[in-house]
Amino acid sequence: MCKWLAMALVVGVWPCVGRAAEALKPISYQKDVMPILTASCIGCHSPEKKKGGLDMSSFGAMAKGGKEGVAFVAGQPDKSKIISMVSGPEPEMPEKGDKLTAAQVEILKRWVAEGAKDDSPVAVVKEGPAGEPGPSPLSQPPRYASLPVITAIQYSPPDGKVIAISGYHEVLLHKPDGSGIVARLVGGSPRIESLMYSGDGKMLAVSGGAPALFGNIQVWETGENKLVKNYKVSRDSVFGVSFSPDGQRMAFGCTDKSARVIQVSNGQEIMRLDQHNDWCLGTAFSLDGKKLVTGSRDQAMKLSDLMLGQFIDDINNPLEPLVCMARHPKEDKILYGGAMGKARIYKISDNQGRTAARTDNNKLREFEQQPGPVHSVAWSADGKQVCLGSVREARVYADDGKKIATLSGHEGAVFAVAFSPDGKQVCTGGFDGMVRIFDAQKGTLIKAFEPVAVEKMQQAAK
Amino acid sequence: MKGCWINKRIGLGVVVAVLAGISYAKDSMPDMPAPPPPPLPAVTAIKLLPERLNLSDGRDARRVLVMGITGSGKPVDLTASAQFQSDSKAIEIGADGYVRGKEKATVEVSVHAGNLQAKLPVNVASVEVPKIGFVRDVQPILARVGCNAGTCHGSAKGKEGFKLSLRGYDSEYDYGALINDLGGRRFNRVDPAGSLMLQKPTGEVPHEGGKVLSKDTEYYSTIKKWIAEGTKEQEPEARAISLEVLPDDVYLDLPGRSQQMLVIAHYKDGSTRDVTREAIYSSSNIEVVAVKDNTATALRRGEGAVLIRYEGNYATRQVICMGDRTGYAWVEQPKYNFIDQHAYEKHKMMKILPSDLCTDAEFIRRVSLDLTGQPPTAEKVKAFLADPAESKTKREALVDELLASEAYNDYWSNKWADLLQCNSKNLGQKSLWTFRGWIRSAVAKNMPYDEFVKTLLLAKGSSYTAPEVNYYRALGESGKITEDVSQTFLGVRFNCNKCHDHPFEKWTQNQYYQFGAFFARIAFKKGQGPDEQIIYNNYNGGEVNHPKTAVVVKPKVPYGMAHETMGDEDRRVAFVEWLTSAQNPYFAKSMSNRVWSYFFGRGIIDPVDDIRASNPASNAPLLDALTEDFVKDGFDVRKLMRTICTSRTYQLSINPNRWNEDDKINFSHALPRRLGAEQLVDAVAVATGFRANYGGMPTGTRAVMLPDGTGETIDVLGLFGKPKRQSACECERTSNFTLSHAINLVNGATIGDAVSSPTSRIPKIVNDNKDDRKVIEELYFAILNRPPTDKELEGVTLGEGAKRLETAQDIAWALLNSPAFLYNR
Repeated sequence: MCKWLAMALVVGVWPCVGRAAEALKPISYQKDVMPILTASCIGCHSPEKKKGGLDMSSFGAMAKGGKEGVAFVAGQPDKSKIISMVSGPEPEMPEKGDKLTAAQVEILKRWVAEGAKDDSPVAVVKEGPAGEPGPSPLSQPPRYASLPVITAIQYSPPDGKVIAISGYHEVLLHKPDGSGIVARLVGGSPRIESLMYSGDGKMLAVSGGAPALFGNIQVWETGENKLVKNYKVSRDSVFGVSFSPDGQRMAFGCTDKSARVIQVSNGQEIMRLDQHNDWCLGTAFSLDGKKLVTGSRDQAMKLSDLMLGQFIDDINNPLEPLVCMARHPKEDKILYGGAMGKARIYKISDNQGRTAARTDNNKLREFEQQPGPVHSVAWSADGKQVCLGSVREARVYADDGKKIATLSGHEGAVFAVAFSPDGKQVCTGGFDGMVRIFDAQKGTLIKAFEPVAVEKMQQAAK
Repeated sequence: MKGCWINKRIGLGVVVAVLAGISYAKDSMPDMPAPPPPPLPAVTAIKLLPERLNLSDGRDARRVLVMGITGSGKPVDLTASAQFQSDSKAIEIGADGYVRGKEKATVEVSVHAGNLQAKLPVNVASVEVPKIGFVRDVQPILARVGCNAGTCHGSAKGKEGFKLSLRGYDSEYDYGALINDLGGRRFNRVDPAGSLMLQKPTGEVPHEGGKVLSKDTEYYSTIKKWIAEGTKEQEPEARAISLEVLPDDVYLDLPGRSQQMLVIAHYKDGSTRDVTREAIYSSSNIEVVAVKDNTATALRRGEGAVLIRYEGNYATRQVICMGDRTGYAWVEQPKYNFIDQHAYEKHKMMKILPSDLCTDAEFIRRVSLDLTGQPPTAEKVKAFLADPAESKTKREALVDELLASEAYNDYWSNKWADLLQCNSKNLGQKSLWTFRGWIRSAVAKNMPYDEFVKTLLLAKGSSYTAPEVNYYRALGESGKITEDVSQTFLGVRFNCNKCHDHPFEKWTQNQYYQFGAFFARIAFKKGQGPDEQIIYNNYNGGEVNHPKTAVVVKPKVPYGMAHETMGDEDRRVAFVEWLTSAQNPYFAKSMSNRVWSYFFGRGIIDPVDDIRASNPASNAPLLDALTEDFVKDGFDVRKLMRTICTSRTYQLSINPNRWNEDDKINFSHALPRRLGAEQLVDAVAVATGFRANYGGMPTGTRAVMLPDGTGETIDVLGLFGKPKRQSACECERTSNFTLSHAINLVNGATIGDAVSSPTSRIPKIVNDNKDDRKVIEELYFAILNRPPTDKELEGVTLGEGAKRLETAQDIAWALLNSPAFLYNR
């Protein structure tokens, strides 16, 4: 409440005291200019799109100018393109959305006039082989006015001592019977997109970030539940994290269509695969760690050679956008869930034998149509069962395609499914924010619980 | 020949200038800014629209329009300057005029406009605040803000990985995209303001579409509240089912005058809501009416319509801008039949005075071209002018004579061959001839239109022995059948809704496939002949699958009812029965309108094959009467044409007067129409007596008798717009006039050969007539179908010897290149 009130006051008072205040306080690039650029410019003038050759996402990039020359001349608003493009009765920019207000143009003008000073915080780590440090974890664990959507669930190997469940700004470690929280792994990313334990269970990788702002990879040491690695990657939330069999490397997918492989120890990017045509949502290493499978909304699962650093071939025929994927625990097979409601198992192998008739050589199995998109897939530890999470329900199948059980009772989409290490139980989560543990054979609900404590809070107290 | 060339060059300049003048005058309307609002007229009373308000819940906000009534009974919008006052605490009146309920009560608001006053009763039925619904509350915001526009996330592939259905026609899809896609990335129940779907449009995070929503708006808080309340899905039935728009029609007295509109959405459960701010408005005629938000402003005198759309519902309001008509007075006009009555009613309403009747010479040329595709011969013109009978009587007799002629059959079977896509590429040579033959026999016996369509659409058998099956052969699969049958026989375009619900019309994607399902069982097999095909109904099945769900779609007509197909009955039977029924509101109407357009150069609804709410008729009562007459006469096409040609409206002069010079849509004077490709070539032949030969066809064959469409190589017919016949659209035939046309006429063989040929009638005219004036008179009769005026005869001498023929040829050439010849006037 206080915040709102304060804001209202500031807005209300501005016109009267504005002039006096302005004269006193110089314009800050970080505080005053950057929000304007973010709202109205960087949508197109980003490092990825760079329309007109101009990147305005940082002071340094903007200072380089674009195809039409320098963006600004310090001290001379009249000679600065960033001023002339946005002023006048019919300003050329922004091309889309609302024009800048007179007050906003005035801020830009004054900033240039005052020498176009850069007061953005100096990066602690220089550009180099090591990864950029990730966002600092929240100082306080988050509080919840309502249940967050659950996007990822994993049982800790080898014995399933805890279930890791995504929350908001954190990962929650629950007892496997749902009787309580073991630990809260609080990080600096609001969204958690995927979770993956290393083979020995000693590390938990978390991918996520803040949509449209940054991506983040966290590695938690599971003994002490300590955040040991924290890297900022990409400019958007990142998906489908996976460990190499030796736990030395990690791979994940990005909205810039790339799949990236980094060194766990220092976050150094080892490889960037740019073959996809749309967001990359899943990654999986081959059993020997020499190959990588990446899956994307472009409908393809692509196989790359990590030793040579080159793309080999598509594994599948493009049939529907990929939503999620998981590798068989013991074999080079991959299961993916599609946006049109089908899940299929493929051999991890190149597709050289394919012909013009588009035979799908590597396809081993196609499961029956699900009630909606296949939002989540999982294998049992022995690879003999799979679980497909769709809308309102998840289903358990034998690896021969026979349906074993239907896990119902969900409201909306089921974004996460995981087998307990003994394969007897399936844990699900999704849109409704509830965690449910089912008997994998009978499909009966064993337990349903809220993964976080929901408090009655005023919206404004956030 | 030297003199001749000089002559031709001068001719070129004149012709091009004249023709260019005609074609450019039409579209060179400069963009006009809205004129300043004129002073308000004196008002004698005020009226509120609606007369009372009922606020059904705590989020309900409504307002009224304040209409002034002038001394002459015309309305004027006073809403913008009106004052609303109430002391009651039960309601709150915003600066925008919206009234909201605070306590359950019934109160009265006083409304002041100038020195007039009115009372507005407001009933606050409840102040409970209902939960936000996705379909009813959130989707309209996405449309209004523009998220689902065709250029943004509504495009076929979406934008930047986020796709919505075009203008939000598919709520289920849009809900999935916002909530289920990518693990719920776009909303955040824990921190609603941190939801991507709010951060993007407000520019808190980079957004290519820019900042389109402010955080201090009601729209922002509605979406935020919906997220905080749990982003629940809502049944698609929660969508509005109809729109009510106030006022009923928009009358603007002068350019610069504005009128606001109110839009009320009605829902299945009987509730209503003011959606004025969320509705989307567009003008059908941006030269006459400018629309900004809910306000229509007159730019100049004329007529237009405002299309209002909201969540898949559509409404239109006709807008009339009268302009200054000081001095206008209606003069009583003779009426030949009911057409004139309806035309005059509209003229009076728009303060138009129709032109005078055209001359007999103009009439015989016009009606001959319109009914038979060729001008009259000089002899016929002379005989018609010499006929002492009363003009009206002899004109009627001429119409009857032309309707009964073989030339009529040739001309109209050519027209139908266009619409039915009779071309050798589709059909092969033999079937081309059999199909064209069938069309001609149907035209020749004046087959009633409903029977004609029935026969075509129920056709089965061999393309040799049952030629009518060739229509299906030309169309092929059920998608093209759906699109072409709807466009040809209903005048409705169904091609947009193949991929998504029609963005500006009520037609849905489901309807497209339901329509196609009637034709899903048409099967083709090869016959014995080289291009013989056998069309049959496959009783064993054949279905249309919906592209989104792959589910089999059952046949269903898009409006009205068709009988249910039983057992192995051909599905087409039910369809055709529904299509050709006298009750079908589009079938007879679209045909009446189409036929009308052939005689006026413009449909009453125009284009004729794009009937939709946003393309209103310029004279709906006229079209209704014409349709009723057509149905009453058993779909008799010749009778319909007779009624049109014998109306006085058809026989008006091309010359406008002071009170109709700006009219192009109300048929108050004739519009010049460039001769169609075949008309032009045939007209040159009739005028000069020289006819070009067409490959393989007997000498003397008229261009309209050629069975095929234009081929791949462009000949003179193709150049002048004869279609290839691959489309159901009338627009496939063109009648524009460009430089390439002018160059062909001035320098090419079309006119050049006819004029210089020794077999043309020019040498005979020159030889037969020793008097130069007589030669010129004959040329005028032959080419322009009228005698020359005294002025045109003044001082003309042809010269001596060989020069005499050469000069006559030059004159003929100039006449053939004049607009009076090239246009049907």
